[in-house]
Amino acid sequence: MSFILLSNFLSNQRPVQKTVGSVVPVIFRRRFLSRIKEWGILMLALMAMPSMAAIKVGAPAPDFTLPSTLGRDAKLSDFSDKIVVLEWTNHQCPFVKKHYDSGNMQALQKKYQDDVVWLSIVSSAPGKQGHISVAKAKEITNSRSALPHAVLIDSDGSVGKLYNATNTPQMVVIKSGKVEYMGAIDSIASADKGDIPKADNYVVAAVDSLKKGQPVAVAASKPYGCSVKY
Amino acid sequence: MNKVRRFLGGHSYFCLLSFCVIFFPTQVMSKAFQGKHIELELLSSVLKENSALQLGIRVKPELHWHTYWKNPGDSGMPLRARWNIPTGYEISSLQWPVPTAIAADNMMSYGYEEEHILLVQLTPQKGKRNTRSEISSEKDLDISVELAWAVCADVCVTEKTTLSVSVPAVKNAPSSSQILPSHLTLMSTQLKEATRLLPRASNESKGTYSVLDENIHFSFALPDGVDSSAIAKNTMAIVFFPEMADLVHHASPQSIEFNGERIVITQSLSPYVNKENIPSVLSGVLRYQNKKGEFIDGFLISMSRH
Repeated sequence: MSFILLSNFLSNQRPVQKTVGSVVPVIFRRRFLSRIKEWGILMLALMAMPSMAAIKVGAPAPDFTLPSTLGRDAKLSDFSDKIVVLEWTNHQCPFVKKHYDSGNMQALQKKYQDDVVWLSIVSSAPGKQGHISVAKAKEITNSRSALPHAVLIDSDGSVGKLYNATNTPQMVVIKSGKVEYMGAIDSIASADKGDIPKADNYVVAAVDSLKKGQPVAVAASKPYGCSVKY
Repeated sequence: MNKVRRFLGGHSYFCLLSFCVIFFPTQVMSKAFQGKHIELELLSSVLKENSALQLGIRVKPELHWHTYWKNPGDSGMPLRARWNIPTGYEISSLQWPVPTAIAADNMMSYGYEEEHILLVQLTPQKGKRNTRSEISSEKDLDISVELAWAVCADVCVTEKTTLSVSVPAVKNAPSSSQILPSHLTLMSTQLKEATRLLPRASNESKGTYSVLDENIHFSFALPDGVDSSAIAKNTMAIVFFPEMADLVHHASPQSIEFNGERIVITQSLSPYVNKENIPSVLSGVLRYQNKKGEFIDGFLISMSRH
């Protein structure tokens, strides 16, 4: 017997809070179908899946416009002549606190204040952890002495999903409208401030390389942290 | 007692014991750490001459909260353990029970929603003169472990603690002819039970993998006891958990194909993987579960590049 079974294991679990995409139907193929046909059907099924990672290293960074602490909407393409850092954040997530309570994130924002447009993005949905208004974003920025160029509020999560943001913190580095780095802030996936000096900071490495016109050595790395509260 | 007997009907006392172990462990334990939305405890078996000491970290997330497998999936963090053990001994790495897939908001985590035990073994260091006799030393063994973890529901809490246990030396340990104190009996039973929930090694489960465009195909022999026709009928299910954290796009579906005695599982690659850096040998755990998602069996799968 030979058959293909598509198991979307999202469907096996306890109810998801918000269903994105559809539950995949089970496809049962008999042996008389040729292998090529089977794979064809499989590929079609995969194409119908919920959207995969929308961004890729080396590919254009999709443009977006979001309400921001600038006093007007912030548009990514307005900064196309600069290096842009996108930082997904949730001020109540312990992995974010690791980098703010230690002063690590503020130090990075300060280090690159002149060369980089640093955009902190909040994709928490209303009612979920970390969701804030523009006014509250200003207040939090002041209270933790953060120095982003702006905090952007992505209440419907559309920009987070466009950039495949799964974690807070999660970082994207963009130059000339192209994704140059995406993923974790550093190499040690922990909530321990003590690990920060021991870790390789991928954002620093990427920005410093780009400033020198060099290629980014580590261009992607799996992010770690809290899930984004879509 | 008669009432209990009647309640149990034809079941043996063994059932009564397991019932207690599974549902009421905290009543007998005194040194468990009560964290936020989680309880942890260091368990130890009794020292016996010429055998390794079995230890375990019991982890019990609160209802609707979960902790993580060694590959946590899209977010989260596995528990980290830093051991302080007597000199002359070495400790194995953590052995993780078969995880479960926890999905929310189109993201996928791998972990545990129920009470579980991470096992380790303490053995005399290799190359030491006294090797085996060391473990029967006259001294009690003081063992402690610094733990750091994340426990999450919709939100996450991270905490740290140090747990310790003092294991009586063999000469002080209760012998098998004596009746063990109830907490030691309970610990031994819990540790034995935990071993059953580890993925089983199987020579037949060695397989191959191949990368084609943006997908990875895992191919291996159908492990013993896995019924492909039940899976086809959707009365049973399998889930594959790769150990490498940035190998697959965790939330993408796994397509499963049975070809005679082989299983081929196909999944999208992680957006973070560098195809050049995929090791020549990959391993993972295959979970066999019923349609409610309840654990039936688990297997260690090792695959080399095709």
